[in-house]
Amino acid sequence: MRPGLAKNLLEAGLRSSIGFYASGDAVRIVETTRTPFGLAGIHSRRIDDAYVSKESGKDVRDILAEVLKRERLKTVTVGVRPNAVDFIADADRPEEGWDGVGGGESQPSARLQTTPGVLLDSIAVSVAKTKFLLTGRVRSKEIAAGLPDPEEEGVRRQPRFEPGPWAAWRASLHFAPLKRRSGVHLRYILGEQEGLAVLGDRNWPVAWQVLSWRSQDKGAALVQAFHMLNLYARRHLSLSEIRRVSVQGCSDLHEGWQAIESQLSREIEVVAGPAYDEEFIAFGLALGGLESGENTLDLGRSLRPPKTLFALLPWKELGFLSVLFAAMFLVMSSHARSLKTQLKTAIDENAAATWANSVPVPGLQAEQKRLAKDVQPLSEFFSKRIPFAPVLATISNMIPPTAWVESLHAADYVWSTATNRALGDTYVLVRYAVPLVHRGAVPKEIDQLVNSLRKSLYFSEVLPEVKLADINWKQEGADGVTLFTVIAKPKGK
Amino acid sequence: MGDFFLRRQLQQFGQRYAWVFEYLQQNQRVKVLAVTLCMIVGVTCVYNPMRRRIVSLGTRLSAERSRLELVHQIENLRRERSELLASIPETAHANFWTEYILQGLRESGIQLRHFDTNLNTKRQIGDYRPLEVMLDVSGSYQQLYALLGWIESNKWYIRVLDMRFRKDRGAVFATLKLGALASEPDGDANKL
Repeated sequence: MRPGLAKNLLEAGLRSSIGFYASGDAVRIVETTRTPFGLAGIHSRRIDDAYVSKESGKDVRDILAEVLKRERLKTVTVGVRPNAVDFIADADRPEEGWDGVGGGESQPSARLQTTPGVLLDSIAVSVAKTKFLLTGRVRSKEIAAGLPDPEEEGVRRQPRFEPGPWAAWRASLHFAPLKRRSGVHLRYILGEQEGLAVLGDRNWPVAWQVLSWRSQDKGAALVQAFHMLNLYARRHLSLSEIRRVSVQGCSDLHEGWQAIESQLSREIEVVAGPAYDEEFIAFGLALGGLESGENTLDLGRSLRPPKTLFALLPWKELGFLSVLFAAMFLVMSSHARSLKTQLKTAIDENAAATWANSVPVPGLQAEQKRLAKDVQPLSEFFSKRIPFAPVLATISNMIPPTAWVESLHAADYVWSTATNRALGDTYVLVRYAVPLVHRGAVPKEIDQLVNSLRKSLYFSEVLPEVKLADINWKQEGADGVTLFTVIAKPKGK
Repeated sequence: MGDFFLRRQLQQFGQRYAWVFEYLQQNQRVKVLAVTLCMIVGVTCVYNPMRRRIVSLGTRLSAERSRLELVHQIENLRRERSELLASIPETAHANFWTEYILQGLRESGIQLRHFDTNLNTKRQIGDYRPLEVMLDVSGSYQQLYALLGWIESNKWYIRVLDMRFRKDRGAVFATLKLGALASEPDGDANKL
């Protein structure tokens, strides 16, 4: 893969942007890249030799043209000097026909309102629970002066144009975000000899004032800006008083912040962040380039040709849905193919049973029911049988020489119930006799017989429950006999 | 010339319907509309036809499988029945069993004291009815053992339902109740 192509792909995946800010005779270019893990690859360079002519701006234009040609995949955002921009915040006025919705919903109808020689852009936002239409205005020649020649080869797109303080507020929030529910907030973003006082909430600025203390006391400038913006917030914007004040950048103050705090009757929080300078603004511009162009002011918006329907279409979402439906089609068609194969196999197997081809399902069900009704009792009759010949053989083999069998009763009922329910349907009852030694004595043959029957191969397998049922003594003439009965049953019966 | 008119017509069309374009640009309506249309197309052209196809195939497969299962069950039952009936003679009426058992008794040499049959006409076992044969016999132990062996191992299936042996003056008296399956009700069998 060519290195250039790899670089372009990487940049397209990671999303990079460039902030371009010209101030005095210097141009500051900051490049940022956003990865899924945060910002990476912040690169800043300063071009000192660029002479920026207020009349022609030729050198800046050349530098910008060069950047636009070289970095085709990146968003380039150009900062407009604070004193060249009018920034107006208007509270929501429905009678003027804009239904401002918070969260940066752009209003094309408002954006298209133009005045000859003036470029403007508006954005509807919600600040401290109040809806505002924020409008930035700039003279068209201010923008046109910085734009490269569209006919120049390789420059086929235009950069965004943002007010410098707008970008500075974004950079400031990047370094020190405001707390949720902090209300109306005033933040001083201070440099060596100049700075900004920005009024806003945790998302949007609603007013700002450029500060300079080259010919003035720094503390006095800060106090003055606070009062001006506080008055503006209450009277013009109908907001509550400034609730919190914070300082970012060069926070050194020779009279100390306690003095300012006592004058403002507010605590002043010193927050982290670099000093306010052109690099700070360029960084804010580059950060803005990483976001959608709809949620920001773009003073050069009306200079660009109106968006085509093709450009308006949400290609990412459509792509995602197309992939989703393609995947759905693949999965479902695979499932359908599998079902079709199974169906073919089932049809073939059914066709193989030729006898059943002409029989409808109800006929098959009736046949199955009839056969089950026939086979079940037959199966029962054939399967549950105790062979009695081995019973007889085992009993005759196990009998001790001194004993004899008086009677034997064996039963294995299958369809009629047993006469003696206590014995169950299957049993063997053997009555043995042993000569009596003396009345009341238990002959040892009883134990021998019961044990030998239990241990015999046939009884242990088929009739394992061998028990002694009763013992009786009988006198027959001069000799007496002991009669005892042994019962054997299948397991669990 | 035609190209000029076409372009002009397109321009007029664009101007007339510019409000549509402007309307769509507001509040991300294009996004919502495009995503909705894509969803409708996807559901209509991909999901619904495939779902209908899968449901149809599933229904047919289920029907074929249940039919196949029935066929297999019937074949298994027929096989089982034919295996069982292999132990019963084709003409297994009560008279056949009487003659057959008497022949067995003759072969064992045992003395027959009483013979009776009872065909249970109330109970049906498949195409057969239960036949009970009651025997009172006497003889030596060896003769009785031979008779029992013949009953339980002869060609046709007869089972001993009840068996009572008693010894009296050197001889063994036995009462046997045998069970068999008879094919047709036969009044003559009860008379024996």
